[in-house]
Amino acid sequence: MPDQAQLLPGTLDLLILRAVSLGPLHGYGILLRISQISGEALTVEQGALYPGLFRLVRQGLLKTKWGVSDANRRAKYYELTVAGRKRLQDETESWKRLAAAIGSALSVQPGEL
Amino acid sequence: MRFVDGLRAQWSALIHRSAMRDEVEVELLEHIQHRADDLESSGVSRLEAERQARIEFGGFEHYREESHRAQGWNWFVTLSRDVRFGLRILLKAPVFSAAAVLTLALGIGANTSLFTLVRGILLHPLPVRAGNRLVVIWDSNPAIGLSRVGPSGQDYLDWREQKIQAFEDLFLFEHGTGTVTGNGDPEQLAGLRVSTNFGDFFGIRPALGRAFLPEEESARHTLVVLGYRYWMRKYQGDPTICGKSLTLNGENYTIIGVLPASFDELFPVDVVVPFDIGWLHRADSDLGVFGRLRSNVTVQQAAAQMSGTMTRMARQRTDRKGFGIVLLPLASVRMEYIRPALMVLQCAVGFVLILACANVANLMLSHGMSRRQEIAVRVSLGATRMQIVRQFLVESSLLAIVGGALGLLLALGSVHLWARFGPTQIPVPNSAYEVTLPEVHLGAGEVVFTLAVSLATGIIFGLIPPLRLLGGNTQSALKNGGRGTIGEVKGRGTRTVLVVVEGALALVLVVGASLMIKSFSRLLAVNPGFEPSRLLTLRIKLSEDAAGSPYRDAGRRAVTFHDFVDRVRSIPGVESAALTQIVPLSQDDMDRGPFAVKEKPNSDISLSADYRDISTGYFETMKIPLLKGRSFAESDDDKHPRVVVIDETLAHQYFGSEDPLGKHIVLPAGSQVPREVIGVVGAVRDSSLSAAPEPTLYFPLMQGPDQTMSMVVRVSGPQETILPAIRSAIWSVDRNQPIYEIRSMPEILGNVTSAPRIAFILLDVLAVVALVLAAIGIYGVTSYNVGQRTQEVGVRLTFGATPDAIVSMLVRQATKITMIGIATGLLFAWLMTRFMSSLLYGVSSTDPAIFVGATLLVGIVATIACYVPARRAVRVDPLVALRME
Repeated sequence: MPDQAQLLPGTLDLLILRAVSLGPLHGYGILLRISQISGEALTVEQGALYPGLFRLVRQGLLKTKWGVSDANRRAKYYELTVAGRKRLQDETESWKRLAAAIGSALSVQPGEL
Repeated sequence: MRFVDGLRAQWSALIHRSAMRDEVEVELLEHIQHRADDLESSGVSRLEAERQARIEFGGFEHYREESHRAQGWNWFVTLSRDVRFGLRILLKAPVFSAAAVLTLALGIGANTSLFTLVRGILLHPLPVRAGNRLVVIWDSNPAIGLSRVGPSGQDYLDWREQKIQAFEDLFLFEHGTGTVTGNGDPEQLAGLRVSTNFGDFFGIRPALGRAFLPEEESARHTLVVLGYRYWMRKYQGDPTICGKSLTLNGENYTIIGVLPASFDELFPVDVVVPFDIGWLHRADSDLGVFGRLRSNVTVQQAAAQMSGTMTRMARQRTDRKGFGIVLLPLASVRMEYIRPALMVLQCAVGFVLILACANVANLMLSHGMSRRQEIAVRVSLGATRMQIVRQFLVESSLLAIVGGALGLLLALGSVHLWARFGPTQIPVPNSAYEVTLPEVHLGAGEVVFTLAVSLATGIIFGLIPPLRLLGGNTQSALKNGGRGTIGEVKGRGTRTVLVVVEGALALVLVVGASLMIKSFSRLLAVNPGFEPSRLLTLRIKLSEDAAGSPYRDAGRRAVTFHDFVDRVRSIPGVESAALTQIVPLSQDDMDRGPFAVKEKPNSDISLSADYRDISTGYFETMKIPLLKGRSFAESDDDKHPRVVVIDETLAHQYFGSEDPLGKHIVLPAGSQVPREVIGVVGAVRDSSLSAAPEPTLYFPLMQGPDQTMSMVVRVSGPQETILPAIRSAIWSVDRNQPIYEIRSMPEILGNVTSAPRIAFILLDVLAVVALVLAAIGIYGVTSYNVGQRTQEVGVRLTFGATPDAIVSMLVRQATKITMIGIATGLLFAWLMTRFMSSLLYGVSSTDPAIFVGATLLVGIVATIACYVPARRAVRVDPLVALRME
């Protein structure tokens, strides 16, 4: 998979929050959702997801609940807390600003200045 | 909100920690299963799908640990791993662990016990307002041998009027007893007469009703406040008691309140009544006066102000000529008798703890040495110094905590023993007063103390081995397989220090204990001047105070007392009985004053003596020897010439070689009637066994008896059966006569020797413990050192050295170190034993015989501890020894 982008540090948290913001998901589901919403361009080593998830829970951004998955297996479902939703908003905005700035910087053509 | 959620997540992680661990694992495994499901549905076999899923997941263990860490449990995880590892190591060396734990239990247990006593007795705050600012004020007159005597009512009134700046308030009281009648058996109650600022002075919050009002001293009020215990005992805590009446000394008193239970600690009294102002003006000396200092005034400042005032007052009051003031903090006065003993013991248990720590450090060091290879491996595998130190600390703390828990049990036992066998009352030196010791409990404070001591010792001796081990070259340890040669043995210096410390401390304790043994045997061998065995004492107070009492007439008192003794003497099982104003050593109020000798009017020696009224048969009952002349006879009553018996101290001090018989004694404060000296008796130690006997004058009771007398009864049978007979004999004369303070002479003796006895017993036990610990320590170090030299011993044996020569070489080298320890110990002992001089009687704190004896004892024990391992070392087969490396 040569055309997959490396994940920038700190972006995994944002992707997890975004994935969960669309509805409660279990770990594997989050992974699938990330790959789906990023157009399969972004992937992580699967196990790396979990330390990130536990960190977000500890920070009070996610809450968890055990349940049963579609595949009829036990699964822990993650959901945004109020703080998590706020954090997602803030992070999204600052990410957009940054992306816009980087994007415009990179699209400058010689002679435009 | 976020903070709360985070906290909740951590909290649930904390309480469900092990569950959480499993949960993480389950979650990760389920993830792999989900992935495998997906892969399987794309057409691969289940087995292949699971394999693939695992690979895609990455390092399972790694991510599991990372997840735990992300949950915030990093420190706990490492700690619990260290603890588990430590436990495994300790359980693998059960002898080492048990030795360390027991040694520590002993050291920590002894410390917790003593700390409990010191905290309960010395540091216990008085249960009253501003207890630390209360001082006792005494008169003193060194010229006539009065070091502490209670002031008079007039003194108190004068001081109060002077409004001395240093004091917020002054409080006056008198201990006494009162007879309660009309409510069951007649009872003699412990009473307190107080100035009416009583309630405010101590900040008393009555359990019921109120205390007195200041204005209630202006008229004679018959008001009484009950002590808590008496209220519970006699009235079963009746909440409606206020306003009811009580017949005290034949008068009706109105109960106005009940004291709080805690007040018993200061004054264990049943009833409290107020002084009225008229009484105050008349009241004789020997009252108690407390002052409450202003918050920033020192005792010295107050004493200086007080003596300034006294100098001014002395111009108007000639009766105070020659008197000075003694001012001491109440809290320290109360425990003056027991404090030195407790402090000496506190020092001793501190030493035992150091010894215990030294031994455990030594054990840890040896144990650590045997783990050099393990440490080296761990270091080479990347363990940091911090991790190694932490591991050792965890192990030593585990040992210390288990030792501390056992020590706590030990302390619980010793506090229990104290409650059963320890003294309940202690005398206040030179003041004819006893203090009831507070009850001692092992509470939360003591548990915290034990925990702190345990952890501190754990950290201290836990740090020694890793610091020694890590100081060395770990590479060589790895190569040598942990054996090493002599030159490489690290911790040799540390061991030498340990041996020196152990020898020194053991010697200090042995010297202290030997001093106590010698002193206590001297104290017990002191002849009190009478025979204490089978002697029973009890107190009788005729109700002279009551209006219309027949006992206001001295003649009637004499007859009644005479009848009491007569009836008691006729009881079978009573060998003899007599009356005395003061029972020797009982801390009864001493009556001391000046006297003159008629035949020597111009003598410039100021004469003073203890006064004592006694009945016939007193010297015979007490077995006080009559040295000259005769003792009192029945005929020495008020119809016959006044007579007096003197003791040999007085005869010796004031008559010297003259014959005192036939001379006449005059009491300047009394009736000035000359009293003929008719006899001389042996000296009696009245105030304490260790103080020299005071000059004493004995007067016949029948020539003017007091209202309160003690009866001394020499019994031949068991006390329990004779006591009821004595009671009914007295009641057959007067049914309303209470009998109180029933004590046996051995019991009284026990109270005045309690402090040296406690110090004697405990110091001996501690010295033995110290000696054993030191012997074990020295043995341990020597056998380790000798063990390191097995190869050398083998070489020497091969080259023909005799085993005896090798033993003597090894012992000589080992004892050299212990001798340094003993020398250090001698210096310490010489410096420290002076602090116990107040506990010693008849022996100097630097008694040379004891210092020599103790040195020999410790020296011999240390040499044996060196000899045993040395002897074992030469028993080795030289070939085996040589092949060891």
